[in-house]
Amino acid sequence: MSDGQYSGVTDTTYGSETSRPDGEVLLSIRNLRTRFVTEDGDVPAVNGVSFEVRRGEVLSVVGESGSGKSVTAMSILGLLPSTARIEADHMLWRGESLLNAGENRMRQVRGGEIAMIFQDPLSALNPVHKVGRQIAEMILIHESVSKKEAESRAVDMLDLVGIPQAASRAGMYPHEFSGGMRQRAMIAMAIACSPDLLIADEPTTALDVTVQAQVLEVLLRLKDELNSAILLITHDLGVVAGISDRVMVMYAGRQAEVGSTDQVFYRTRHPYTLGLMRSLPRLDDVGSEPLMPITGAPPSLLRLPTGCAFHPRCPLAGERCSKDVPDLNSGGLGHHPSACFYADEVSGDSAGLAGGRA
Amino acid sequence: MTAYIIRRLFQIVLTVFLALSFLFVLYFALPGDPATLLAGGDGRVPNPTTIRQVTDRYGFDDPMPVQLFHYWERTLQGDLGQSYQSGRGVTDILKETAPRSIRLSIWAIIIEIVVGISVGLISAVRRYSLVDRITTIVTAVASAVPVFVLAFVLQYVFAVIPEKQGWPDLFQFKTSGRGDDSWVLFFIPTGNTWRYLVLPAVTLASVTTALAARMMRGSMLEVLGADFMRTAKAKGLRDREVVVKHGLRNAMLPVVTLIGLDFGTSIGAAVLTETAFSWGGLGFYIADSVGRRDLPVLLGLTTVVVLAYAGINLLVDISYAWFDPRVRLGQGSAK
Amino acid sequence: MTITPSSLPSAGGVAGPTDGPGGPGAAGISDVGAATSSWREFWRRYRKNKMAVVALVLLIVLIILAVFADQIAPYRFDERPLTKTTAPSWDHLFGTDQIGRDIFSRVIYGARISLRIGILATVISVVIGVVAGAVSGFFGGWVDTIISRFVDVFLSIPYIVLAVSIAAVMGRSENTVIIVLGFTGWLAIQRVVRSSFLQLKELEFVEAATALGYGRWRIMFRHILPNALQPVIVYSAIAVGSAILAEAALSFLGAGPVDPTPAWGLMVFTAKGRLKPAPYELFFPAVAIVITVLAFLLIGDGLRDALDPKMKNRS
Repeated sequence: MSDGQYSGVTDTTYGSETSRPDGEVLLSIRNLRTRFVTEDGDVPAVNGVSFEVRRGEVLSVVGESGSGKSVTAMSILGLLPSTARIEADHMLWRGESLLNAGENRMRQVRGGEIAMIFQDPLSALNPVHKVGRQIAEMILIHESVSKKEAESRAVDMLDLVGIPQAASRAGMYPHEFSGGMRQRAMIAMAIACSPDLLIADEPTTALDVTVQAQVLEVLLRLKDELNSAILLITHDLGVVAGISDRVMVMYAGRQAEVGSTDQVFYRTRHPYTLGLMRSLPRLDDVGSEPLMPITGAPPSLLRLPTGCAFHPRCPLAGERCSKDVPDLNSGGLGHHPSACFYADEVSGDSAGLAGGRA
Repeated sequence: MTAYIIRRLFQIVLTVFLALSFLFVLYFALPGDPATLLAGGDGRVPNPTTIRQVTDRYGFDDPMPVQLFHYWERTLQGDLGQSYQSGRGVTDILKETAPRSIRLSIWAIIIEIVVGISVGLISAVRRYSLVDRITTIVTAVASAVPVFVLAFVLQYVFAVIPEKQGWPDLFQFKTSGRGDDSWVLFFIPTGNTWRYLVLPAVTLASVTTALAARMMRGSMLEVLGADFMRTAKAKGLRDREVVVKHGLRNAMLPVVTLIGLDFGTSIGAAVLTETAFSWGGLGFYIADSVGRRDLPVLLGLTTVVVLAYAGINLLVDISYAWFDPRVRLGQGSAK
Repeated sequence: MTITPSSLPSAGGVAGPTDGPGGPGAAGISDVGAATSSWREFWRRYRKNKMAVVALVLLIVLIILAVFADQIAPYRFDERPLTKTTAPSWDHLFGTDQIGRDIFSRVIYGARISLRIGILATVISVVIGVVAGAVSGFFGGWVDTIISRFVDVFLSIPYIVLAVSIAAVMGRSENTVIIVLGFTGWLAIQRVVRSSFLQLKELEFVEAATALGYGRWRIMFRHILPNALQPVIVYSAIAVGSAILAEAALSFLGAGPVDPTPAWGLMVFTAKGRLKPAPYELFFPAVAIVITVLAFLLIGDGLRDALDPKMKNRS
């Protein structure tokens, strides 16, 4: 867990305060906008997102369904259907623009430098290919080795992620594995070529709680061994608390706040994040206070509210909120970035919510 | 797996037994007196004594269950009887006609596989393109055209017109019969046989190919949207590689089943095609014998068709289990 | 010979939970537009498929032709204004057949026969098939075993053989064809409905209904059946086309209605030997068959797209 040290001064690049200020910036994204062209209009799934990922850290992207977190990840690797239009001020991978990269270069990047694992390993792995072969394929795509060598390395990978009897497991099909092992197998596949960034899209959502912890542990261990970074997408705050260094909260395609895990959890600066925290049951609750869900429902991306997308559901909403669209600078200097005009009035457990403005 | 096969064989035997018995009873109710047919035949007026003799010999006066019993007794010993019309042994007729139907079916299936799968695949991968649109229209129309109509259209275009216009022999196809009827390796036509084979084979293939293409397209479209396809792309594979290496095998599973079933059905259901082209196979003679109330021939041929269909169904089921590892190894043995 | 829908939509149409990233499907569009009445919504979706709309118009034209044949056709179907076959002319748009009857009129009267046979046969198949499938799928046990065995036996006999055989026994008439087609058609529907029920019966809303104390029959017909019906509706539309093709086939094989009934299949049959001298005798009824069957096919496609809430199979 990070120790929350930060310089107290926000950089011009959003979210650049970090637990390890010396980590090399691997991924740098500014103002990413991804929209889908549909019959009913353009859907702005990602609407101006900016962040960086540094070597050695785990950055979590948190949000509900439809917040745009998965689309953000897939925009990086160009895995969206042809109805998607991706634009950004810049999207740099180790200094190289991914937006301008040709398809050949992107293919090198995919799996070789940035790897992705998906939510449901049962449907994400090809059901008619053996697991070992699928891992070996990853190796064969990016390195020129013999088939035999690829297969033997595949077994090594399975071993690395903690799958017992790796050699015989490699000859089995995905449906023969249990859920947790399948996810590990997918991780094994993803790290086969030692990528510098691992994007994990809801890696634990389809798993039992007990297994979740194991998978997260594997991810952390591998990150350290490979000295890489993880971009973790999830809606589960528990997972975030478990392994993240930094957190980015998304809502309706935009960022709500970005900061170290401590900062976002304990010095929350956005009403939406606070609402998320408060709607979670906690073991250390005294027991007499009711859970407070956030009233209302997430908006349709086709008909976003004017101004701040959250304002119809926000207890702190003021007049300005329905007119101007806040960005990460709106929270003012002096703390971690937050896209809320009243960021300073949101705080931890305090009943800032009780004294809402009209 | 073996237990499964045995169970299925058992089911098939029972089903076939019931099916054939049903047909026997059904034909029993057919108007027309077989004895008269047998005794007379060829338009001769039979004399009553002969009719009496024939009736006694074949037991046509016996109650139906008795006749049914006798029928099974004979059949299980391999005696399929003789044609009422011509007196020829049914088994002989079978030996002659069955290969013709099988050959025609083999070619129809080859066409279905080659054309159906590739067209369906291209349509799915190049969705909304010109190829796709044309394919959609053509398959829709092909499904709506009755087989015999297609037969006649093809005959007109490829046989009647060339003949009328006096085109060189090379471009003329034939519309009835089987020509030299010479074959190599059982199903490869030699001599001028192929001229007689082309039109019937294409006609027979048309219905099933249209369906196979549509099914392949649908199946491929589903597979294209599957998660593991995205994973494959995330590994850095080219789009084409993703489709061929990962998508194809998954998409083909239901299509393979369909094609297998089509092979089974086409042997018997080629009735229309064989009639339209006078291709003397099982289908042709089945239709023919219904018209002539020639019961033994009808039953004998139908038996073979029913058996072939059931047998092929079983093979298809088994092979499907083999293709799809999920079925072969049982669903998820989580440890 | 029978047409089966290229991909029957998955039974039930009950959407499973999807939390897929990428694409607006699950994510952004939660409530686009105010709630319109379900008929309107259905029609709006149906209208998107241009071919289906054309097909619908075509069907209406056919129905008009069938119902008002007496008024529309220039001659009666058995009338003999001439004595032999002639090529198409202004007097006889489609020419006359071998004994001088006007083909154009006969084709129009034929619409009546085809539609009647197609629709009645399909209604019979669907009713029997749905009931049999529902009972089979819902109750299971020996009821299911008996019905399914029964279906298996008849499905093991190639369709044409079965149809021709039964028709041969029952004599040649329009009603025979309807009964034969109805009886052979319900088999496939029973299978489909049965598998729908098997799936649906496991879903939670059935458990809920049972817990609330609803009787079994009520659950079966008022709760499960509406869900299972979606593929059946699509199938029915296509099945009418299929039945018309089958009727044509039966007539062609000599098992359908007799002369002078202007059944299209029969007209093709009688014209088959004279392809060279008088191709129009065969051509016009054949085209009528194709157009009619195609119309039903396209309507089936349109229904499928309009009824499928997820539009997964939009082509």
